[in-house]
Amino acid sequence: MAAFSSFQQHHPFSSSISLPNSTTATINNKLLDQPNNNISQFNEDHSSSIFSVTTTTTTNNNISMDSSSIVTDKYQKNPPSMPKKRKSKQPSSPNSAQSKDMRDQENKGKRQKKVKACEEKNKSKEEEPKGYIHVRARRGQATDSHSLAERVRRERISERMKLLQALVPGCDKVTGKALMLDEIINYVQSLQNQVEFLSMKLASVNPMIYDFGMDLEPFMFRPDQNLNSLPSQLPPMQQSCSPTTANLYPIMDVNSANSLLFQQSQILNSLPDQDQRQMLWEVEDQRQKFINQSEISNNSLFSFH
Amino acid sequence: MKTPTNPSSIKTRFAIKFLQAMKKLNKKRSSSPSMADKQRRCRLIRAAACASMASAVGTRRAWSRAVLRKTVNNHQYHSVINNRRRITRRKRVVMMRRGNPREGHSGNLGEEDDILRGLVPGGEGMDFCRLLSETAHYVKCLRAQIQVMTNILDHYST
Repeated sequence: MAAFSSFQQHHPFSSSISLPNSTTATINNKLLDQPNNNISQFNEDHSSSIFSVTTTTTTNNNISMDSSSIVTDKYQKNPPSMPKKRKSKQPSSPNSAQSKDMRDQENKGKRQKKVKACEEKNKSKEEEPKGYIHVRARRGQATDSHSLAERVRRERISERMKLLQALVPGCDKVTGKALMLDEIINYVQSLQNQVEFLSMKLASVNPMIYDFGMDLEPFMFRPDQNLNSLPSQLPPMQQSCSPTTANLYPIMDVNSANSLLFQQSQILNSLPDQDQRQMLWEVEDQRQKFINQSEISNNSLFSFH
Repeated sequence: MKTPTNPSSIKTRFAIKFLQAMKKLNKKRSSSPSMADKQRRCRLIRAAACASMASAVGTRRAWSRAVLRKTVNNHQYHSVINNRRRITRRKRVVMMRRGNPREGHSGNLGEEDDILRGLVPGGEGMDFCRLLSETAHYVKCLRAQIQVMTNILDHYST
């Protein structure tokens, strides 16, 4: 290709040609330069001996026809590269070619220039025989593996965007990908801020509740408390308590999780085992204390990672 | 039990793990909380919430994996870690390199992309498709987390 650019400088013909788009211009440069300078290099590039035959015509009127015929040759040379797409896009009417061009235009901003160029060609040569238009449709296929992959990717993205749209409130009113992404970003940020706020609140609230639990720990093993007025009863009660709490704990944790999920503020009423012990703990908040205590004392049962 | 729940649902698992973490944190708590202590506690609780959410989700999602890795790295900061940390750093660099050329593909959404990548944990090395699906899952989990945390707060404050 570097050789071609140098050829363009030498050749007087290429500067005199004025064509609507860059792609045909480069092709024409190739065509014009090629027979004059060296045929062998061109053959190396395109591996086609037919090129040298077709490119001998140098008049401006025939150049466009030549370019399209070159394209035919090129694609007839290597059909196995994309057999599937050739099958799918065989129809050769100018309408189908145009519609495909339109689709391609939607696909990629980068490719839009080329496709536009093709459309311009179409308009300028509507009187041309159909074979050439058919060929040009195939010429658009040159990068079609990319555009197909791109289309698949875009479909996946839009699918996920729809999924997110359903998740994020207020996102369905917004049109446009960028605005939607803005909404999503705002929503995620607000959620994270909410988590932070909640953890702050939990940090401020929790010590009060667990203070009771902490106070309960010495209270449990002190004989001179109001609750256990008879010191002789204490040792058997401790023995009965400690294994049951260990057994009870998983159930209780699940229960508390349930109640937290469904906003039942009273854990204790939903626990049958706890009700049996209600006789031992007569005061309401002392039951609460007991739960906290048992939760604290059974940390070793679980491993958090 | 009045309300039967699925014990393996993400909410339940998160609630259990979060409560365990809170208990652990409360065990470590000093008796006289100062202002700095409160802030530290708040950070710890937040980290615990994130980590327990991630561990409730498991390792099948990229964002939860990222959170777990971060938690493990933070946890082992003063121990043997040197080799491990180096490896994870290298991996991260490779992932970012892999992700960069794809970024150019998504057209003019570069800025929003980057912001979203910063928000979703582990989003630096993802392509756009992956990032969107991870974001969807992350948003779902954050909602569940907020719901559970609100309920815990309600329960403890009443």
